[in-house]
Amino acid sequence: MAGSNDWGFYGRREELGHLLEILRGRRWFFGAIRGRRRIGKTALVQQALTALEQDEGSERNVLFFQLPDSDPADVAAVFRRAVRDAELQDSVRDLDGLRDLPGVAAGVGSLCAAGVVVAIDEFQLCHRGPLAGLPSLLQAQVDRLQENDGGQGSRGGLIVLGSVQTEMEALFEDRRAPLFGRTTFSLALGPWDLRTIFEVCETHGANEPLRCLTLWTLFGGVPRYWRHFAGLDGLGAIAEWSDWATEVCARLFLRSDAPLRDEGDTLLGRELRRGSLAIVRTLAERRVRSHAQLRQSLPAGNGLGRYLKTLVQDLRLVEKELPVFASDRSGDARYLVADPFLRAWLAALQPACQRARTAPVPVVTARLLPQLRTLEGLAFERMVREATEEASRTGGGDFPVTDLVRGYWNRPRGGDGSIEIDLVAWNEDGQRVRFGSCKRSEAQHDRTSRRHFRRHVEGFLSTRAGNRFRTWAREFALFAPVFSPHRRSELEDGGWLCRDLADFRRMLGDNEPLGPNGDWKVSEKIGGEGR
Amino acid sequence: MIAAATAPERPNPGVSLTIVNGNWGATSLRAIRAVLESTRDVMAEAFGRPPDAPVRVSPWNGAGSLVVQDKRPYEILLTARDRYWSRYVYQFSYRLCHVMARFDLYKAHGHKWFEGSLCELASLFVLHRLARIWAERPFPDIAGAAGFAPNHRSYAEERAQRYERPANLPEWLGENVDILQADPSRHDLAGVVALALLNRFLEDPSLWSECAWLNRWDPEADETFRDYLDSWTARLRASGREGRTPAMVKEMFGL
Repeated sequence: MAGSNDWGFYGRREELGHLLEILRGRRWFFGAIRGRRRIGKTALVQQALTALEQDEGSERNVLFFQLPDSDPADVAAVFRRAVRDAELQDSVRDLDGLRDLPGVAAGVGSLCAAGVVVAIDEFQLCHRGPLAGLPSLLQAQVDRLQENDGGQGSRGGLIVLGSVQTEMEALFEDRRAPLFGRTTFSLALGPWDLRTIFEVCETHGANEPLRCLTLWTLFGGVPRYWRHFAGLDGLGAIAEWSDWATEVCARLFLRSDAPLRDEGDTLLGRELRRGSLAIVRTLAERRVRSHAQLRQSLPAGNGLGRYLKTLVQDLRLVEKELPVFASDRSGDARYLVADPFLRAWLAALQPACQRARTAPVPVVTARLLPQLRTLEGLAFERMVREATEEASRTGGGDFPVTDLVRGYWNRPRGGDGSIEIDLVAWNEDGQRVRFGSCKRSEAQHDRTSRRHFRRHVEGFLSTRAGNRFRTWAREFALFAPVFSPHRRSELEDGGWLCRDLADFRRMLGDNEPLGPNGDWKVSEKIGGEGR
Repeated sequence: MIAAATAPERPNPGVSLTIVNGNWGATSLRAIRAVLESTRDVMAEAFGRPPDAPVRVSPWNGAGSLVVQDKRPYEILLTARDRYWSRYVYQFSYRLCHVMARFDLYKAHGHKWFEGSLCELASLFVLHRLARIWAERPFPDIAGAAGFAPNHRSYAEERAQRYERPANLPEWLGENVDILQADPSRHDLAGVVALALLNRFLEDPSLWSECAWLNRWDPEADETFRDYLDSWTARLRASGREGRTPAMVKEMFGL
């Protein structure tokens, strides 16, 4: 099960192709790339530049610099150093005398006019505070460059990267913002899809389904966390899942040198403002909360709606669920932490990290593993829903989905019992409906569990929402990370469909050979992460 | 369009292949160019000449690849993306075969299906040839080309498995020729013909050179498929060639 420690570039083929198309073009460009911290914005740009280098046979002149969360003088100092490091000082007049934001903006303009691709990271910092003047100053440069198409023979451009969705939106989509309507392209990076997750698991020694599930539970689709995992040596030799999971948690989160020990708090501190933070912490105490319960977590009149909008729509860290059997009234809505890493952090890792400051790591992990198993059960349900949709969307699935039940299962009006079904997906054209039950292990799909599953489906079909499926072809699917051939055959003989992660990997994977990508490797981020 | 009853051009190494910028996914244009050039070289060698006009290749998001009629340079649109090299080879060979056969001189006649079958054959043929060529010859612009080479053969075999292998080809043609004449885009049926011809062409690639003479007469007057093959033979003989390929097809289908 040994995997490679050699980190490559995974997924994002569509986005990379789009960026390459722009970089190869002859026109000057100004683009914005958005996505949460650690999602791979920098890696995408670096990767595109590597591919471009292959095309052009020489390196494109690039200046990559990260805005510091400080004052204009410091920004000017960082810019001067970056220009010198990239050996581009000849393209910026009076570099040594450049001390303020107007100077930085003028320097960026000169570089672009000279055909340099300038990438500015952490651009969301310009939304407020001491750097708020930079967008106006850049606007003048951008307008001039767009008017002249960058200058004679220019192949340069400006790319800004930012992590906080709301702040990036304010900088580019607010009509009053200086840079509104200026971008020639915009890319939003989300978490990796499951196809990429499976590819990374296969490459880095986590192909065993339970291990893949554990890592997805801990990291979701955030590339940087996976990269930390890939950097761990010796995990392939560990036979038992519990020993392996203990080692992963200890080395990534709990030990004093663990790279992700403070990651959750850093994420919360950097992405969230106080009100949002209070809501997320409240949600972490219980898995789901209603609007009314959340209101109590904030001082009166503190604008719950605004914070929820940020968390749900902008940051996508929290998910709003409506009841399955009810009208679309927001008062009935429930909220839960949707981001896998944040959920794992708040529910299990953060307390474990705190305990690890005073207790031996083995003692801490012994308490952590049962919590991790519980989280994996929840994560697996989500994984199955996502995989079902993704496989259908990419045409590789065994069930073409037109829609599925979303929301939480409340008691149906006039119903005589609770109903909860992990997956209800249907195909309108073929009049087929698939009901699914998800368990973390195949053994949990025992006779009792299957009987309950059937009863829940019958209950659903007797409701108003489920009635329309009564005449449809029905499929009863059991999902587990792995089914043994014997157990699968036993269950399938009984009329159950069995699907495990190997099935989804096949459905989502390449059904034709993909050529190797040669020397495409992802280097460490330029400029570092910490401040 | 007037038929150009002239001899196929002699090899012209100057004919260019342009890879148009667009969203090709996670790959470099240089690698795509190398893959398509290796495909073009196999086709040019087999036909005994390169395409008669420059070729521009662009990415597009349609249902399948295509070659645009009546455009010079030729415009070929591929749906292949990323580094799925076998798919590039498959699609480009298919469309390039149309180009080699001067597909747009006569666009709509009842025997167009046969040209489609030859294009399917070209795809399988080039995949098999490149499985060997990539393994033997270094292609510096295609990372890991030698290691990838066997995948071309697997891809061709996987495609071939989709097609029926009738025990009696004359009978099969009798049953399907009307369908093919009505709908020349029936890949499932074109694949049967391609598969029947594949080994002969792999054994003797010079058979392709006679395919360059398709569309050099107006096939509208050819009532039956046999008439069409006879016209092809006549055109080849008039230019001093034997007509081995149409003879082989006639024999295979009992015509």
